[in-house]
Amino acid sequence: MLNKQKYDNAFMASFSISQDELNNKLVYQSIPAWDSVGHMGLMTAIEEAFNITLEMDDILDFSSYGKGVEILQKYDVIL
Amino acid sequence: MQVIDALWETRNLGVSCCEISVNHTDSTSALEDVLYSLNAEYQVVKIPVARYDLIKVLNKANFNFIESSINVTHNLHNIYYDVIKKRMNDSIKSEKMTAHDTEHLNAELKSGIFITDRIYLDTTFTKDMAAQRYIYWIQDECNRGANLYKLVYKGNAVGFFIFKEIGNGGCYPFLSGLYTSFKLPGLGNILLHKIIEEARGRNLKYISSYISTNNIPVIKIHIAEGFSIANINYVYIKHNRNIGVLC
Repeated sequence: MLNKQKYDNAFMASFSISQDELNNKLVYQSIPAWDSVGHMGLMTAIEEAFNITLEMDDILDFSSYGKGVEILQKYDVIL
Repeated sequence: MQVIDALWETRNLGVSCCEISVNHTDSTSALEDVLYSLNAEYQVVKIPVARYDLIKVLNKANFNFIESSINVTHNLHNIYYDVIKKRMNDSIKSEKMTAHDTEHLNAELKSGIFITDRIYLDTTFTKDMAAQRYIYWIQDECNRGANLYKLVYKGNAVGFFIFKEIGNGGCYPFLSGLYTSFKLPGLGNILLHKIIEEARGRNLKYISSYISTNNIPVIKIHIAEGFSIANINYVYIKHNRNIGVLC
């Protein structure tokens, strides 16, 4: 599976949203599902999908769909 | 039924206030008798859920629904650590506050870090009143023995909680929150987890707290951290006169 598809799947599975909703407007707290609890689930899904361990600063900084793409580059995950 | 003359709210909000807690066994006539004898400018009534008869009485007396108050408890067993939560939890420390920290907390409260409580949402009151009420409330509880803690990440205070023991192995951490610049993803979970750790560190047996249905993310965090619902009350309010006249 392509990295982009893995990334999108993590969001869709964590927040029960569709592909149509995955864009740069998707930010922390922009939908009810992406709150503090939802964020923990998303981070788990991202780590499992790419077999990485996110640093604390990156977990806190992972505040949007677009920002996550930038952060994953640090872990050699290119989307 | 408990009828409390909430004198502290006169200082906090500038109005006389009466708080009534209705029990499951109380009748509609008993509630009516109390309501029509009240003179307080701000009246708060808490009733058990599924009592439509009481709701009708309150509607007839011109009370408005403002929130449901959920009593949640945690028995401090079976604390769940997933890998990410443990990593985050280990990066953040809780420390007792100094006087300087308390000043910082008060400044954060004045900036409006709480925006879902029944005072903040009530347009009869002002945002400043809602904030000042928290400051007074915390001062009162600290004078009665509660302790204030700050959460520290990389040298920065990112949030706080207040911890109050209530006897019989219980505690009531009645207020906690993240500071404005640190309302970051995932920190809310860690904040509540630190409260659980503090209770366990003190060898307490349970936590009992109240959360509002106006704040769904906080409800979800409590569920995720293993809290159980002990009880729910509907909360109704009524203003007997315009607060603007008083100010």
